[in-house]
Amino acid sequence: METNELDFTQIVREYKSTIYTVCYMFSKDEDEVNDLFQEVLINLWKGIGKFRNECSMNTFIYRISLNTCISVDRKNKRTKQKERLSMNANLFCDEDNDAKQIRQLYDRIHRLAPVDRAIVLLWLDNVSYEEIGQIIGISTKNVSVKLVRIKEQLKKM
Amino acid sequence: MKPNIHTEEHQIEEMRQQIALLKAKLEKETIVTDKMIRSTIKQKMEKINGNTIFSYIACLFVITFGSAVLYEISQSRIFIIVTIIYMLTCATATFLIHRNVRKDDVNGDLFTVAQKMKKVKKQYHDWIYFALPTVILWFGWLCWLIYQRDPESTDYYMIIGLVVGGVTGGFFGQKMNKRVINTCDEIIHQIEE
Repeated sequence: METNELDFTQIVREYKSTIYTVCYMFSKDEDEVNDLFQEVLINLWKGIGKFRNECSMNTFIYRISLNTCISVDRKNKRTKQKERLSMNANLFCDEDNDAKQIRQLYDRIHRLAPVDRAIVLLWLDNVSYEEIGQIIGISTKNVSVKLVRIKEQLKKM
Repeated sequence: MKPNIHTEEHQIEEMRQQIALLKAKLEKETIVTDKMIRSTIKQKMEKINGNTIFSYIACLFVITFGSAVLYEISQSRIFIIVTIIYMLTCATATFLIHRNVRKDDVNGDLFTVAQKMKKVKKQYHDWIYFALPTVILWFGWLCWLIYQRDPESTDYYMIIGLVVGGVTGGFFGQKMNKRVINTCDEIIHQIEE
């Protein structure tokens, strides 16, 4: 798929909340979210040409975002980047009721292992088991088994 | 057992609502795309400046190789001198217009870049009003020179060839001009947005 800058900007605008949600759940602070956000956008820009409509754009965005967040070497990336793309929201510091609710979700999810975090994030966003499997690279059956285990873990929190 | 299931369902439902809340909150936010905008503008400037190399090569080609061919068919020194002056004018104008298309400027104030691009756009727009009539005059003069050389046995095929070449060249030139104007517009629009 040929993607120019305008198309890319449009895609980023459309899926920014998905990308940022994933980055947020895999970060420790605001700087790290912005680093990851930028890293995901770079990988998305590099990978968008390979998108072949075999899966939905949402699945593709999730795959790139989660793969980036799981694999990124945060310490190295942070020292390299001086200028970042970021969102105006500061989910770690905002004090309104919504932010508190979001932080409660963050506290729950962040305690899980990275892959489990990815699975639960997708599941909470109503992504089907089949798609979760495609994104994470595991079988549908494995997704359901993992989800049972994750739910158990969440229950204990 | 039942209260546990309810608690679990409640917890999951609560998390679903929280994720929806998070997404809704982020949906309202704008991305600070400063770096991306600057990088895109630089790419567009490269595209605009890519045309200049083509223009310089075309001018150089006409002055060197073209002059000899044109002298052969027109047999007029004045025509060749005027052609060379015309080509040098075109090359100078291209150089002067493109002085405002500098990638280094993009690292600074984008408002200044937008102002410069507006200037470039206007100059490109105005240039067509000079270039089109002068090219038509130049072609007319060349055809007249060919005809005048030997009115009895004028090579009309050559004139037709020249006219076809001229119209094709004019078409592509105009397209190139329009493309630069559009790219300038995109840069201005992107900055203002």
